[in-house]
Amino acid sequence: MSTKGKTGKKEGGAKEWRPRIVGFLCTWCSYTGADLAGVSRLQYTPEFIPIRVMCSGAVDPAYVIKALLEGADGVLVGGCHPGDCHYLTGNYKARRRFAVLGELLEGMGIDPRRVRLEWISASEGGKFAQTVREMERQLIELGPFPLAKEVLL
Amino acid sequence: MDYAFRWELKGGEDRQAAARRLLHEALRRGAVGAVLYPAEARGGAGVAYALATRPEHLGSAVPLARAVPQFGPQNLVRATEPGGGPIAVAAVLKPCEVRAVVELVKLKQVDPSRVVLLSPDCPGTVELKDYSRTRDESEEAFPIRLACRICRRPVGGDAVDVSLGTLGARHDELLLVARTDRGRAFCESAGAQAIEVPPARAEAVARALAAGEAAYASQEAASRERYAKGGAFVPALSTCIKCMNCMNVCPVCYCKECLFYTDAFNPTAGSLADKAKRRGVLRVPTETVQFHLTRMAHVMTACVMCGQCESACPTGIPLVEMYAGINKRIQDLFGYESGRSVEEAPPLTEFREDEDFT
Repeated sequence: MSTKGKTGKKEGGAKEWRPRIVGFLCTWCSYTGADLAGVSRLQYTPEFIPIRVMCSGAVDPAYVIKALLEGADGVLVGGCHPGDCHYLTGNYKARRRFAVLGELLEGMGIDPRRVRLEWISASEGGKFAQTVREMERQLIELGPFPLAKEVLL
Repeated sequence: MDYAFRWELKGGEDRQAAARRLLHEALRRGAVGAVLYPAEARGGAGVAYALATRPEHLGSAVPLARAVPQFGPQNLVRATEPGGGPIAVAAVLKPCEVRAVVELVKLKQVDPSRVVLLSPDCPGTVELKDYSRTRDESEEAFPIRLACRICRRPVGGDAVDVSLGTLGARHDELLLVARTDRGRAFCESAGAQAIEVPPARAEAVARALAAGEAAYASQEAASRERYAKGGAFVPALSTCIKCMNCMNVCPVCYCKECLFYTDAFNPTAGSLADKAKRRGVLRVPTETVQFHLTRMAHVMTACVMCGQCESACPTGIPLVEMYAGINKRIQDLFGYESGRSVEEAPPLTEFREDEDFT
């Protein structure tokens, strides 16, 4: 994407690439956790794009795939800890769907480490920031999502 | 427990004719009210499913046809829909189609109480367009579909009511193997002769299944080499014209309202231009990779590897080859096998609290 990599500057003014991460965060836990990270002024990449969803169980693999094909280098899905789902079982179902997605991506030659499912509670601002930082490190290692350059996508 | 019945070949008929006579008898004696079966076009030019309620129409029935007409399981959905009349349907479907029916039963699309599932031991099928070759050419010359060459379950499993058995059968018989009480009742009311399950049957079935497993395993390895490691995925999809035939013929793809027919996947002029501007270049029609990946994510736990998607693809995208690298692996995550049993819940509808897939 042409708008990618606008943040950060290397010496001499050249733009430094930073991976773009789309996060689907459940409104009850992970989104609130992200909010806490913000008000606590915890540092993580400005290339993180949060999308608030009602439940991690509402995140169809189609959304994750869409995010990757539309320019994300990695995707985080954040949900309530097992047992804590506001809708009782949404996160358990997300876990199974995510397992399918990971196997599928790997099978089609897309590194499954680009996508991550994490349980982050409303009180875990630190875990949220830490998770995004870890993801950024991982994605820098993996490099930009390679299919983004494919014309025939 | 399996019950075997002998259906003897009479007066120089072949197994195809004997199987036809079985359907005829079942209808004539009222074992079922309708039969869904492959029917051959005049002169053997082609084959399609037909639903007969009167035995005199069964003259063109080819229950052991070496091709799979599309939409067998889907037609069973229609035939058993509420309000369709209380007739029992005997459906002659290939083992893969029966597996699809099992998935559809679990997804509450087929009412199994009104169906007797008959399934021939399947030696593999050809594309529909090649059907006439199965009459004119020797078996060795048939171009068997890849899905069949790597089929792990060429013999009907426990969900089949009656196998129309050729494996382990004598040359002068069709061996009916009933796996359910309903199947047993069907055989009895059609007038088949009860016998002991011949010992040769189990051995021949085990051999066929082992050969299928080996063929699949070897294709799985090749597919992973090509797609998981080889980066062939996007190039292989490059010829997709997004006709969505693969989706429309898929027996386990059943949503009445489909994501891919919503506005989200059908760009307006403005959004198309926008997107092209943003990306710099845009393949049109758009979202073909998105479509195929999403489809795989949605159906792979239920996919029975029948290969109808690939057969329906006008540009020859190797979908079966792609799926072979992930189908079993994805189902193995949950200890699940699509089509094995109506007792096993579809993996994406249930969960265990303590499981971990990482």
